[in-house]
Amino acid sequence: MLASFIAYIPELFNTVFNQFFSSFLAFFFMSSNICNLIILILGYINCRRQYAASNADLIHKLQSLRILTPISILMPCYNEEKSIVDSIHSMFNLEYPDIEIVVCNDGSKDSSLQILTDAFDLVAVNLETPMILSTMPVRQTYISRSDRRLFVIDKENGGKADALNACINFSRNPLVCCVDSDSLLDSDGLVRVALPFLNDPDRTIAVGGTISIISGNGNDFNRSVPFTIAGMVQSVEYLRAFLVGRMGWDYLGCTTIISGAFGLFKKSILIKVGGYTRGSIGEDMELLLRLHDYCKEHKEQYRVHFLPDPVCWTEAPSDFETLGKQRSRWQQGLCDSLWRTRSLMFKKGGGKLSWIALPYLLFFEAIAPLIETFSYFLLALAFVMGWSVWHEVVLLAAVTNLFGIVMNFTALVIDQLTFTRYTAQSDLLKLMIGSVLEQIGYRQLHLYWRVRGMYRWARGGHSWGDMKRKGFRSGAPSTRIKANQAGPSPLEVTPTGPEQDSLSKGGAQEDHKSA
Amino acid sequence: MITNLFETLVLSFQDIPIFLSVGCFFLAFAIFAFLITRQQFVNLYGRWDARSATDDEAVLMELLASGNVSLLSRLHRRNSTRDMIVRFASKLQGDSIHQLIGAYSYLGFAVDDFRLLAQSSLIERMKALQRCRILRLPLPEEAWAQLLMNPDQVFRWATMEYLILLKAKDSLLWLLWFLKMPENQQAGMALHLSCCFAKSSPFAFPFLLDHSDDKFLRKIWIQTLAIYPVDGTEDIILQKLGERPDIEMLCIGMRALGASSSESTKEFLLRLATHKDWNVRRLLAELLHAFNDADIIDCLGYLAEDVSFPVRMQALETLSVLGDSGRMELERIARAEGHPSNLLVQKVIGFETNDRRIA
Repeated sequence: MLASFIAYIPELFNTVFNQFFSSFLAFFFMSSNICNLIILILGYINCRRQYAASNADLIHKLQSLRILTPISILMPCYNEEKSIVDSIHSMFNLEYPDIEIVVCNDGSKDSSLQILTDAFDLVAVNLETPMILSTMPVRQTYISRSDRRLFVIDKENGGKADALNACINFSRNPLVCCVDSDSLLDSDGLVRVALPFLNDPDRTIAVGGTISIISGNGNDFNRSVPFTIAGMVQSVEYLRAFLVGRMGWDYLGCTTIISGAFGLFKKSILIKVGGYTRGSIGEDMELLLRLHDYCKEHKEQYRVHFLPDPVCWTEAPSDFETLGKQRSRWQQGLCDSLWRTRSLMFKKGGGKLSWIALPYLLFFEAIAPLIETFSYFLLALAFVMGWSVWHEVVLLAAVTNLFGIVMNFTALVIDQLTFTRYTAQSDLLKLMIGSVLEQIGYRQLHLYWRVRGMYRWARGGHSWGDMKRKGFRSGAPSTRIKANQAGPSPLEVTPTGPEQDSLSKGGAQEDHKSA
Repeated sequence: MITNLFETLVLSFQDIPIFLSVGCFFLAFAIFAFLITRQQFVNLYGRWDARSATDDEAVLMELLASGNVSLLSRLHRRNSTRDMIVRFASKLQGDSIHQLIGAYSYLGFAVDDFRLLAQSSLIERMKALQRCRILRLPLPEEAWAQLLMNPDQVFRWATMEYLILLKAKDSLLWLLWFLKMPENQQAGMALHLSCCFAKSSPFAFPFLLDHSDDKFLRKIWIQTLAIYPVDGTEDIILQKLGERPDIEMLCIGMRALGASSSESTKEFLLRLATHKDWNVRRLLAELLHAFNDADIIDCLGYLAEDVSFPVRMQALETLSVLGDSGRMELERIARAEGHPSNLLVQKVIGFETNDRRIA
């Protein structure tokens, strides 16, 4: 009897895989593709709407008036000695009438603080600000004598969220703009992102902008697509993710993440929800979900906007090793954020966020890597065992990958039809190559990184690790970017998985280690 | 038979996801093909359209230089020529503009723009509106109301801005009508339009403020007066602020009042030195630079001892720009042992106790 059972096992497997798993996979990929198609269409509609608005050229008219709300720019800094000074200079060059910059040196082990002191003539003063949000102990506060809009907080290491909370405590303006210390903003980016607050000050609580990758070798940089496989692929990912994914979700009013590299918030609401959560890996997404939750819970009318044209430029990993670590951490962050805000999922009265956006994130971003990995496993097994189901799996994989390539190319065309961020022939060629490579080869690699991230999250790993930085060494970054820019824009995608959330966490964040 | 039918259906249902996936792919591909075709068509059309751009540019230059209207017949009716005229118009002033408008109308572009404004996609409408605005083409009267009712708020905003630009003082009634509609009551948009109107007619605002019962509009008028101050409006502003304005309204009012230097304003502002909100005290410290007498120096000295760092810092900043009297007060603070701003003055503002300026 045992022998007959053992002989039956292959047939049993065949039946189970054929009848159940193959159907499940087919259903999963079908759902994923349909969702992504809908997002693509909505993203395109929203892009056209935003592009039409940009033709009114209102921004430059507003800049001449002193009616914009003062903004505090918050810059957490951890071992950023190579880029921090240039970043601050670029912030001072922004076309905005009233800003202050609050930098938090989060226990850097390098000479970030000394470099800041030398560059901006910092003097120690007691800012005597009430600690509304609890943070690690502050060692000293400084003000710059060369430009009194700059404040520096030196505190013990507590992670990026902790540093941002410290910055919030010390900020004085009603709006706070969180940026990474290796980020450069378009010169009019801050005005653009502040516009929704100007128009609808009571309801607007947060506005996000697009992140793009800077190309350069550390001594010089520009806005062209990097000529490396990692650079090309990431440029395509960012383009698709922001211009399609984020714009699509914004159209539905379901923005679930505002990038930690560039986001503008109403300070009062941040304080109400207790600021950033210390120890959270994906603190930017987790914060926004809590803001949604708070406003829904208190039945407040609120709006979260995502704009395609305020662009923040950031340094991206230039090698696959660093990129892999970054993507693993992003996947950890996604899982962590979803877990921490799980009460929002399918919540009564939660609206589209609870019933559409979060389930999408859960199934097609967080869990998708496992299912996709399983499909590859099934494909290999079926091929070896000679099961007929492998034809279906190959067809599904091919269709899904082709679908992803088409999405990439469509995002590229949408960019060309609207904001035309990339104009050089060489850039377009690189993006086209990147669009193909992103789905064939990189996607599978990405899958491995994401599964690794999930594994680490399941084991409770919270380390951010380090990212190799080149830094900016070119004088006046934002001015240079403005000089050769035609018109900003950007975006994000989805068929491959978690870019939707993870891309948000652009550049510098990974340099921070949670406490 | 039933079993066979059931099996057939099950097999068919199993295939549905795959068919749908393939369908999604083809749909996405169709969207891509449509967009890329359109983009390439636009590019190709642009190149074809621009084939006589060089000739037209030379004719336009000659037209502007000579004023010879017979040259109009040598211009081509193409989009590149249209854009060139608009580009020239955005950079020129005076009679040249009229010649360009003449050329624009002669070639039929003005009518085209009106048609686009009436019915086309939002992007085309917005572009047409921008062209009309740059050239300051007058629109038919009946068109304004229709355009100002457009569902897109930015388009409405741009149209109203254009109307104010074109009709100057006559646009007041339009502006009031526009801002009273609830869907247009957005602070930034309203303030911008109000400022556009104030550029040409600032003296209308005291009257507007005096006769406005709408809270939203009152706030907008006061904000406008803060940016485009008009002498003699202090009493109206003080009256409209009322006894206990909220913090936001108070700050707006303070900015409007800060533009004048009357005694009543000064008294009102000085009373705010003890206001509970540090934002108000900080703004007060900023606004006091418009006055320069002993009372103000005393008030700033008082604010320099404030519990809030931003208030103290702002008071010191203001003192530093108030000439000798401010400098003397700063020196006094720098010398005063235990004064909360003592170190700030020494380290940041740049005084030492031995009266040497170090910054």
